[in-house]
Amino acid sequence: MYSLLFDFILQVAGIFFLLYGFAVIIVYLLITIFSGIELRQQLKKNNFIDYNDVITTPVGPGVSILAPAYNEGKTLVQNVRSLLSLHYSKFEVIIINDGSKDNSMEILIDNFDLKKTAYAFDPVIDTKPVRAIYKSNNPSFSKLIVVDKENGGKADALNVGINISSQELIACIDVDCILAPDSIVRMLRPFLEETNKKVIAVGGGIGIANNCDIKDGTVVKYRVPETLLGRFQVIEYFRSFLLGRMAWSKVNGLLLISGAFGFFDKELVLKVGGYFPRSVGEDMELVVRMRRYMEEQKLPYKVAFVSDPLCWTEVPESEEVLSKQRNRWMRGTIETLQLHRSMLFNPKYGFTGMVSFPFWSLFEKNAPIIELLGALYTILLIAMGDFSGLYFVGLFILIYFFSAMLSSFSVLFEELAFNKYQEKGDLRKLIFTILKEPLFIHPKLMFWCIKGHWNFMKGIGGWGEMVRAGFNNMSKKEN
Amino acid sequence: MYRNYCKYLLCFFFVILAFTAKGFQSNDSITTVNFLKKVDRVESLSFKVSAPNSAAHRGGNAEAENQTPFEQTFYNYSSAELVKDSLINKGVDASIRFFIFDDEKNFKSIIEYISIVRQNDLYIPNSAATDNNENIIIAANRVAFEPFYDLKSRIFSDIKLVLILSILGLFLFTFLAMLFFIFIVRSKNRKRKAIIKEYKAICQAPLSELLFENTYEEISSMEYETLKSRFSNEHFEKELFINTLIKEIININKNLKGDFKDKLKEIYVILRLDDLSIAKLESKKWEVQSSGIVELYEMNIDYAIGKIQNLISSKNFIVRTNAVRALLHLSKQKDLSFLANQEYPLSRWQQMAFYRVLKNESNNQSMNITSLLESHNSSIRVFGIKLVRLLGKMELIETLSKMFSVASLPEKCEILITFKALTAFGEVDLVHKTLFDPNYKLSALSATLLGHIGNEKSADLLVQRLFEVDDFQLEKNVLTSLYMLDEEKFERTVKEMNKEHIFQIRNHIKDSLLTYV
Repeated sequence: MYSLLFDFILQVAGIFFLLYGFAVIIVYLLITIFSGIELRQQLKKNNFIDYNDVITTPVGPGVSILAPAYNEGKTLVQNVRSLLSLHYSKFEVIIINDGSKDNSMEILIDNFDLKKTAYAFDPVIDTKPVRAIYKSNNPSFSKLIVVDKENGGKADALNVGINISSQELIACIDVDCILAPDSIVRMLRPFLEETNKKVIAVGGGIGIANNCDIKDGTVVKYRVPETLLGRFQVIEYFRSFLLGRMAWSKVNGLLLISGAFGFFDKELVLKVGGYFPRSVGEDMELVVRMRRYMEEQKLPYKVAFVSDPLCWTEVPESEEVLSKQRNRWMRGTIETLQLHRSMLFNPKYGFTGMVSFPFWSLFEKNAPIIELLGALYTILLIAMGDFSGLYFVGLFILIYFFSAMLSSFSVLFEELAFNKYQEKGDLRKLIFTILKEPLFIHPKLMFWCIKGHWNFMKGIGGWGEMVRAGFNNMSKKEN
Repeated sequence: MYRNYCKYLLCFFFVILAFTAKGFQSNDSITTVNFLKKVDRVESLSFKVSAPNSAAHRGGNAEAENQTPFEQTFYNYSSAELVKDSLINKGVDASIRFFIFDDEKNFKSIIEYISIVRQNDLYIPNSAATDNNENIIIAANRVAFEPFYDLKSRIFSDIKLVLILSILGLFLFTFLAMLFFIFIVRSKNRKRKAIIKEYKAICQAPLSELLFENTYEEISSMEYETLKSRFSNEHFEKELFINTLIKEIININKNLKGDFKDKLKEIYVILRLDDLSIAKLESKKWEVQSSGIVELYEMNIDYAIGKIQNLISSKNFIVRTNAVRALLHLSKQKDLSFLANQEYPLSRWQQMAFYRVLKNESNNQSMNITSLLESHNSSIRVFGIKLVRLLGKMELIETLSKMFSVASLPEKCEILITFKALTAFGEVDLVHKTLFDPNYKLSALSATLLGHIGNEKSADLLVQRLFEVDDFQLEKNVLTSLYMLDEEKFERTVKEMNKEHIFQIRNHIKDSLLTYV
């Protein structure tokens, strides 16, 4: 009796893993097709758009750039200068010092000639207390507002920025990111173009700045990172931005806009209550909540994505830091999906509830768990002697080349669209990374994500610290 | 006792049978032994191999087991003989004893018994297979091992495996194809860049020569062939060269003014590049159409207006936008009335593009903005209101004022912003009414506007409104305007209200660093 039940469970599990595996393949192939179509359209469009038209237009919306900073003293001044030199006529930069323990505030006051003001704002969203708001005496920095507040985390700092901002759109960025000079005007395009739907948020393409040459706050020479982990993240970012987000944008199902660079409709952000400060996945959570609100109100809306790499960020190249980052990302995803679980397979939420949300639950949140169970299932079959080596090898190689194929698509898309990595040997390095990734990096990623699940269940939280080499190092290298 | 009786009875029965049914058959010891070797077993007949001791046979400690007798029962004679022979070979004195129904018999009795058995077939013969098995095994041992199923047949006989391998093959092929494409694209892009660089160099020299060393008249008098030969007869047939030349001319045209623009246009026309641009308008691909429109727009080819006009209602957003922009740019009369009938909603992107064309137009009297304000399309009306503001059309303030009561919310907001931008003092009464509008957005805009166009009455109304509302932004706007109109009243009202956030707003308004925040 027990043996029969056990056999039945084994059979069902086997069929489940097989179907899951093929579902993954089909879904990602569809994503590749949709992203290809969307990317082609965007690139064609770009040929006929003169972004210089947007820079001085009186018709365009105002943008408040919100950049929370925590212990970023090392690179803060350079990054703020870079933000202030963005090409657009109607924007303000709000730097929120989130109770840094270093001398960030002193550095800002000294370098930008800041003075404390009596800035009055409506604290629509509850936040940690604001100590002071500064403005510069120097007219060159008239667009700069610096907020000094008690530490409350990134989401809390952004909420303070939202309360203070005075423009129609808010751009939430990581202060350590390097933005392309025309990043604002390019990100505004979806907001300005759409007529039938309200564009509630726009995400932008992000590139990896490790090992690149930076001059005057701009990336002037692109190179792939030196380490395997760094290069792997280049491929991962290509896959994520040029395949995943492009495809989801095409079908208007995008649930995630990177916290490093995203534009939002301020009115709607205030309506939904701003960022959720207790979440470590605040970026995804906000987009899901905004979508949820629009679906509940039955209002036509769109979450768009601009594929151009407009923001460059430093990624961790040490396993320790990367593991913490991935752990946090996984916890953030689980938190968001748990918080809004009523949307899952709920036709009331349209495409978001029926397609995007289930995709995230099945293929992003649960993928590491299913992968682990698959590995245990294989071990069990080996132990029972009910195992076909031929099938195992066949399926293993199939998945390996599927992964390699997807990565190569993303590299091809990058090559066709932007062609940033032109250094001799860069392409070869990327291809070797594609071949190594499934064997040497993917298992580690899965382990870190499973640890994220475990930490979520045990209630172990926190952000972990991102140790930055600082872009200055790269400038020295250039010299 | 009973069992013994039965055995004897059966034995007697056999004897009777032997004599009555088959008759007597002569037998000897050799025939009997041969028979016994051939058969598997004979009914009721058993053999015991016995030896006085078994040390050698067991291979154990000889001294310890020296006294143990060996005895083993067999039903097959061959097996018994095999064991006996092996014992003898090991130096043990072994012999076979014969038993019928467990009674020991001498060999003579056995011969007789066997003869009866043979006559009545009371034995189990050795099967042919058993006989052959040994031969097969021996033969098989001489042949090298080869598996019955090889890997190839194992794979191709399993449809699931074939499916997996086919998909794997597809992925592998696609992966390799992708790598191939990546390298091809990279090398093609590099080559293309190098060729474009070369073509640019070829184009730039004659272009500068023509622009700086020839007059407009000299260029106008040139023939197609003459001008073409100054560039490159050889390359002129190549599409990439033509496209590079067009782009070069357009780039230079963007950065130059006056006479140079005329010269460039003349070169463009003489080289028949305008024909190419116009031909692009007929294409079914939107990107080709757009590229043709952009080229004609940049080069000021006004005689293409007719063909561009056909595209102003194109389903494609980019084509539509560029066509309207080009039409506005190329037509002498900047009459916007054609836009009033457009069905598609006008995006802010399009508004921006059209405004860019119109903003430098000195003769904006003939634009017919009123037609936009009367359009059935709300987004066109909004654009019309924006144009009134951006182009400073003071004479249309009254029109805006008239349409205010029936306008939609976005239009009302734009009208109030326009009144502020044009400092429409005459509209103060209308703004006073709007200040008390239940819509906070309109009310906030009106409050701000009153700071610029308001009067004494406005200050009183602002104070009245301040006591009615509970919205931070509206309070801030009202107080800011009140401060601008009457500072004393402002201070008095703040004190009278005696609220913390009102004091904060007051401090904000009075902070010189926050003047424009």
